[in-house]
Amino acid sequence: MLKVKSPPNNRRAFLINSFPRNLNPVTFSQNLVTQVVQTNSPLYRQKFKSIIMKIKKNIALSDTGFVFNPSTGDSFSVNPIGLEILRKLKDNEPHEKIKKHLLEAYNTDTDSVEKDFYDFTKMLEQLQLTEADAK
Amino acid sequence: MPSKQVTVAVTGLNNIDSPGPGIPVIRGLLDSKDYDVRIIGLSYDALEPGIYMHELVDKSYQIPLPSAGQNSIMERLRYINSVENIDVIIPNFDAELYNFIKMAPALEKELGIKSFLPTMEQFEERHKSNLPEFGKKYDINVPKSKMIFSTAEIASLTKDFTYPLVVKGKFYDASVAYSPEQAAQYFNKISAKWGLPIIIQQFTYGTEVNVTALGDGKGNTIGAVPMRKQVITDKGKAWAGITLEDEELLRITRKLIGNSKWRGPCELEMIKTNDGEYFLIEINPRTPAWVYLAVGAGQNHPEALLKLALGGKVKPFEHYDIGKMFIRYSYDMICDLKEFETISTLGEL
Repeated sequence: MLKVKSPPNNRRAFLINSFPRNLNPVTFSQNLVTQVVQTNSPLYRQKFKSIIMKIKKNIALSDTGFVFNPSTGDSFSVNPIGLEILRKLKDNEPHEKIKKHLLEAYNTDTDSVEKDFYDFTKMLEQLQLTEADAK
Repeated sequence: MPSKQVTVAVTGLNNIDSPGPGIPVIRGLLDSKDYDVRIIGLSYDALEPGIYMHELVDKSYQIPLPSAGQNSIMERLRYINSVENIDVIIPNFDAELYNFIKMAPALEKELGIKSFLPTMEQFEERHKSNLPEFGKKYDINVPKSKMIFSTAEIASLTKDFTYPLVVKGKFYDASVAYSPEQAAQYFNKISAKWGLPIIIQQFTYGTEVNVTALGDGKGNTIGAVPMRKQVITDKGKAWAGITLEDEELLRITRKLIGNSKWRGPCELEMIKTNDGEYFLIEINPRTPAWVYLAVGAGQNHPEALLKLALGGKVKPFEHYDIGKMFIRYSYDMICDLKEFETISTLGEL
């Protein structure tokens, strides 16, 4: 069973530190989901919740896929699938639910979804669009 | 419909690739809902574009350079005022502010020309060379900096600084030096143009963010709009920019204006590090050339400045549009030689 530490102040560090280097983070989070369900422990739920990527509340998303970060002045364009994922992330949908939706809605396989989803969310983090970067 | 008629003299008509703030200030004044403003342009060079922008500037006069001294400038303003009956003067260059701050009481008493400028103490204490003390006094992070007067001092800089560092002129110009050789090169280049001392500042990694702000001299921030440059010219000037949502930056601005009781317009140049820390790298004691972005975002700072100069009470702005952009462009005006001849020979147009 996983040993849960108290939530650290720097949530970004928490995200990185939470993933063992030799383990795919997405798979790891899947393991977590399983255990949360199994144990039904509030502590596990708390930890699982804390590693869900949250998009900053002030990020503006337009229907055309234009993304604007008013804190930095940066703007980006995402394709329709990227926009769909961003909206779901902004609505705080769990990663697993989003990936499940992508698998059902598009002609793709689990490995591709997991890899692309991971790449996409990492990119969002690097572009300072996630709460983990909020100061 | 604006009802009150006022005549305002404005400097900084050099609307070039490194623009003076005169034209954006004039545009803000002309956007005023309360005042019907007649603009008198004050220029230093016959080729300042604002002289020929007749849709913005009603009449232009050449004035002596700041180095000519206060008596010459005062004499020229006496003549201009005898023709134009100026109500308010808005100087827009760092280099002329010393004279105008000194002359302000005489201008108002003798000629009835009002202004709303920083005090001499505020003007002096925010000098690039005094910035570390300024930071300490008002509790603002400032990068380490030092004044130097000779290239011989560059070799010993490594005791206190690490490369890269920024080599700055006392009024304008700054270059990032990655080696002592580069530092010496920039020292010579900048000091030849702007004189001594040269200011050496520790380079801070991060994103440059700027704020245009206006203080009422009693500690209140009348307006403040933060902006990030999106396109920068080779001189480091913004060619495009966007307003930001940055509460921390506004908090720092309000704190600085509140503690220093800043009077008049100013521009804060800050670096936001990747850790979210803010470092003040410069305070310009005048309106920045991008001030029309603030007007477009809902805060007409030039109009508020005019009201303050006229002794009116100004309610602080509470909002501005986030994500409002400005994009500069160059435009070729076609001018008659006759106009150039008139301003060159008679000193007025």
